[in-house]
Amino acid sequence: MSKPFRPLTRRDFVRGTVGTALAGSVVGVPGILRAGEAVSEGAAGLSRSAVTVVRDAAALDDRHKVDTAVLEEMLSATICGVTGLATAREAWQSLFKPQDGVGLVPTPHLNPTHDEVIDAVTAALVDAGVPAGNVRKATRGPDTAEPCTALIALPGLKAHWLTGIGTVIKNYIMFSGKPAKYHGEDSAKLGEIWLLPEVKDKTRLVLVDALRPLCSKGPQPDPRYMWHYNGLIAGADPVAVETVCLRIIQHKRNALRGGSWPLSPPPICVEAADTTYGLGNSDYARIDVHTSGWDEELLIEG
Amino acid sequence: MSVRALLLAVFCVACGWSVGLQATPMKLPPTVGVWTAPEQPRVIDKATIFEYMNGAGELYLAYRFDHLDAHVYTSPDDGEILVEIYWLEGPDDAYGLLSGDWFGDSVALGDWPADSGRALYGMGLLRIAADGVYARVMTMTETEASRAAVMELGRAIVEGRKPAGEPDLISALPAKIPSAAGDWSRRADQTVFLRSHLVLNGAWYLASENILQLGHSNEAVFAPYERAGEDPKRAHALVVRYPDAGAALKGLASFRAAYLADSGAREIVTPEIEELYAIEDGWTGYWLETNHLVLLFEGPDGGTARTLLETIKTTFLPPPERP
Repeated sequence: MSKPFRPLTRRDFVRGTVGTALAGSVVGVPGILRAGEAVSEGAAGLSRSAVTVVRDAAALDDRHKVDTAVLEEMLSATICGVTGLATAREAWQSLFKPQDGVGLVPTPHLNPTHDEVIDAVTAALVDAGVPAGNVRKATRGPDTAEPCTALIALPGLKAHWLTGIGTVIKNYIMFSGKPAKYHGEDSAKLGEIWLLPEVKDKTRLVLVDALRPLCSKGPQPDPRYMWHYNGLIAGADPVAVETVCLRIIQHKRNALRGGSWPLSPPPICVEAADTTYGLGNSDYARIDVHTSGWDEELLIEG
Repeated sequence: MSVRALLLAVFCVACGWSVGLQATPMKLPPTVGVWTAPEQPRVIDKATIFEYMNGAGELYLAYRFDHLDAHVYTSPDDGEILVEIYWLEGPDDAYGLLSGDWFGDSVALGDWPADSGRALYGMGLLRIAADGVYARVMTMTETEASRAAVMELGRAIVEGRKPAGEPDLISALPAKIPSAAGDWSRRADQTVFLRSHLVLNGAWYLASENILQLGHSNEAVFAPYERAGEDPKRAHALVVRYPDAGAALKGLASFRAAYLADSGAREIVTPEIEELYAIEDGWTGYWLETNHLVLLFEGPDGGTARTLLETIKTTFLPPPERP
């Protein structure tokens, strides 16, 4: 006889039993790997727990306009940081081949990915030899991910009122074909979307637009909680990138309120993406963060 | 439906109108400063809200949302000013939406004084709770000119309207609760009026599911209480008014099963119940009387938890019967 269903509660967080509760709830989800079964390695040769943060104080002007020349330099430094290669072209070529169909997955809502970031990534891919016709946005249902051989997660950095953080893991919600399902009780299960056949193992780069993040839950754009971080945050491990993003958001919130201002609801999807879906590493202590450029208010220390 | 009513409905749909509380959009100036808006706003209803704002729509549906008019003021060189007028069933709903975040400066608008507390401005965003309307007026680039334009639009929105009153469920809550170790004060700036577990979770996470069985037919208030001094403490009160005693009993039973199943919670046998439990994060207690459920979380000790619960519950006791 099966145990009666028990929802995740605040007490699970206090007890430290979130992972157990989640693991019990996902076993048997149709089409999804069983809890604890890890996905295979992503881009060859890349550490799954390295994150690159590149910032430039001149990336935005006082009207929040992007300096595209500065952005291009930041993007080059970022991709070189992620791959460890000397030139941006080499770095992009190590990740994407001319025969790839590359799906860009920016955020269209709340704190949208800057168009300038999407354009810069597209130009870099083309410069690296990927035909322009092979680069497309993949932001709707699973059918937009299915034809892609490679995906670049390209979200804007933001908190989210239903999931705590709404940056990397939540960025693929439209690929589920039923995004509303993940708005409530199932937000912890956002990681399962990364294991759908149309999506699994295709993400070769996670590149977060952290030029002007949103540190409160919204749920709509809110200039009171947006600031010039002027950064790009990238890596091959989506959970590690999200973990660094989460740290930046949390530190900014604490700084704004002069004390602890935790995200609510708690960002369960990040830990679950690690411990339940095996998508990467959510333990900050096991993430090597490489920073370069502007270092004021990095918000990752401590 | 009569032919006439049918024709009217078809006409409304063809015009993009929601057949709801206020089919006619609010009259706003066509031009403010260098910003100009189309004559008609975009009208968003329950069926289209997710197309307009993705998951954010859940927030408005969590209150008694009817429809939304979105006016976009544009300027060739100075960006946009977005005006969103949310039409809701009542002032409590407008108040509830504002109460999700009290951060901002209370500003004077038209006849409204600066201390109305229902027009809050900060860094380009003006939020208003006026009668059954909640409004957001926002510029993403705050300048002297855009701020002036936002305020002008705010004045047009509040004209002929009153600041949304505080729901009586909140007014009934004590502002201060004396206790042996010092007074407890309610954090008015963090007190939230709500009808949905999603909104509750945004203020203070309770559970992944709707374990209190909240919904549009309920009113609820989440209120943190703090004790200052050498040993500062914080506890959280949640008061739910259900439509009737049966619904309240079901809500409590659901809560106990999900939250206190392993804490020795006993079978509910009486309609008036008061219980306290020591759990991981302090003392949790509840009191149920007819259709009111008062819950207390994170009490620092049993005695203090009982004091807080007793004081809060007293305000919701029915008046004594006259001989």
